[in-house]
Amino acid sequence: MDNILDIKDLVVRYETEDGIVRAVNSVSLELPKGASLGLVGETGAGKTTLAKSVLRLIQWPPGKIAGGSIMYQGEDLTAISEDAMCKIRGKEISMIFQDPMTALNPVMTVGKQISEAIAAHENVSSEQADEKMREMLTMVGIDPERAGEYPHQFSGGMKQRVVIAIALACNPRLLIADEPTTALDVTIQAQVLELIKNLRSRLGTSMLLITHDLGVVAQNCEYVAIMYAGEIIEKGSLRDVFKNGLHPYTKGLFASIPKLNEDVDRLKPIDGLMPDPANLPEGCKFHPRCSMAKEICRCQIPEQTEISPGHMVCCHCFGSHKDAWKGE
Amino acid sequence: MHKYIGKRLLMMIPVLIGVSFLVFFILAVSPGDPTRMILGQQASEESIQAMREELGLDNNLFVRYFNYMTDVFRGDFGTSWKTQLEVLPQVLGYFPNTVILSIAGILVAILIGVPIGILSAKRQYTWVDNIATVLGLIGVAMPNFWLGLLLVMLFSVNLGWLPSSGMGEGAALLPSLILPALTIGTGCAASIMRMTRSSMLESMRQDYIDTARAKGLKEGYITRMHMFKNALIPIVTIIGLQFGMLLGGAALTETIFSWPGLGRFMIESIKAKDMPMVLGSAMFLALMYSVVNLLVDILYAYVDPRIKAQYHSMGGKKRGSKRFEKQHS
Repeated sequence: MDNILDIKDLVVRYETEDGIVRAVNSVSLELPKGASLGLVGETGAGKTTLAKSVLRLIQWPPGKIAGGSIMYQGEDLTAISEDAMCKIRGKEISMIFQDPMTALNPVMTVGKQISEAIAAHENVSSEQADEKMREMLTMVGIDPERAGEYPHQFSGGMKQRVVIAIALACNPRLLIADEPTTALDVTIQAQVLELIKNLRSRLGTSMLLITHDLGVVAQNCEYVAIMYAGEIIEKGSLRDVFKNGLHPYTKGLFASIPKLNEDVDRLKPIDGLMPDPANLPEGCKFHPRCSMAKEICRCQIPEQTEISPGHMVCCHCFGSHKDAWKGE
Repeated sequence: MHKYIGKRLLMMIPVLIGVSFLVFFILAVSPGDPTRMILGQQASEESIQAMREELGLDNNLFVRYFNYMTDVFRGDFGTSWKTQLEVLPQVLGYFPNTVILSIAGILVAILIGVPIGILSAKRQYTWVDNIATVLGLIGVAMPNFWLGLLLVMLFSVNLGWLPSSGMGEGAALLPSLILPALTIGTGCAASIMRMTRSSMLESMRQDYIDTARAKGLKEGYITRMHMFKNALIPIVTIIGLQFGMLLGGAALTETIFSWPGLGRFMIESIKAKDMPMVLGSAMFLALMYSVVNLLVDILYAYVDPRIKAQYHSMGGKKRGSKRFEKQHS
């Protein structure tokens, strides 16, 4: 299968005065052309850092891509020049940001913020860019007459629509949506997701959807990757992970969702907290919270094991140390 | 917007009354007899007494202040005790010279301060930033008169390139303006530079800068259109404050360079205890300071559309709350 995005062993670090924060540790991830991949994980798992590093938006200092490669259509994004990267950002790959309240420039008109993205990539006159901008506004359901207004005159949901219009203005082939609905209330969430879905089907865009909402993933993605403490601990097709999730963390995530057909008094959370990325535990990063942890989990980092084609798990229960794990 | 401006203009009246009151009483209680200053130490008792009556100095302080203010509201600022010239034309005659010097000074300050501030923010913690910081500290710490004297020594005395004092006419104006403008500009440049740097650092960290980068825009364009535009409010504020200060406080520089401005004129009037002149100049400078502040507040509306909306909706609000509301809107 043709992959539009192929991340291999990506390492991203923030080198601060208080020590090195290991935000993304040796992540490998692939996204087939036209498909949509959901990246799920707790707050602080490194999802946003991973997404930003695809566009090389990690600012040095303090952050930097310390290793690995990001292949986009056969081209390594970590190796190309800044100028070449500028041509890819917004045109080939674009991003929808988490918080629409802060993602728009408060002193620039909404229309200008869309049309400058068009003008940056397409060789058009300012009238043509303007016209395209109006089309985009109409497409996301905003009256083009409002192009001359400023972000503070828009509601949260409308700002997110504008952010989406910016991201889709140049028909990108890959869309990275970083928690596009987290800051919105539920009714607007549904509208925004529907909008992204429609636009995607019209434009044929691939998508990397970052979220911590498993329901959103189920409705929008064909593939899922679960991220924990900067690592992908399980990935596979939606069915693989949702119906046959194997990693204890994945199981814990699903167990913490209340079932409609069961009457429960209390939710079942995963005990403990995500480790501090500046001070990660030895061995498997999840072992301090894992009910199945054995001695080997404390000292040895588990390797990826392919359970079925495309379904990978990072856990000693399934890897080559399966016997060592069972033996104890 | 018009309502807001009208309100602000009305608010200047109490400011001016306050300023005149303070200056009047400080001058009245300060030591030294103005009549002796006017008539000389050898004057006879009779002539001094006659003079006191003529100037109304025998009246109660409050009566004198009341009489003065009634005249002012009629548009009569009195005549100089020393030269017998009318105050208002004198003040209006000197003021343009101060404005010329202040504008030149603030331009120097902006041209030095803003670009270095931006550069220093973009290259935070590098040697560029460190050098700019040290220069800024020197600029703030160095007394103006001392820098002025150094510049005169270098460019007028040793090199002979520029005139050391006075204000040239016509084509000679520019060369005579350079040294005093540099002198007052550098001190202001340092504060403008520091403010530009910190304000730029703040706007550089905002989420919308990531959005701008993700659009594939060039870094220079992002710096100008996204970072700098958002950093402008504090920069405009400090430029306005500095300009207001230059209008009233360039006395020292004007004295060093014998610049015929209002500041120097006021100092001379104070020395001569020429009360009507000092009062007139002080009130005029206070008025100009208020006008500059109002202009800065109006300028905010053009820099930040959210403030414009605020002016429209409430017809005016104090400045202190703006940043707060900006963060919470």
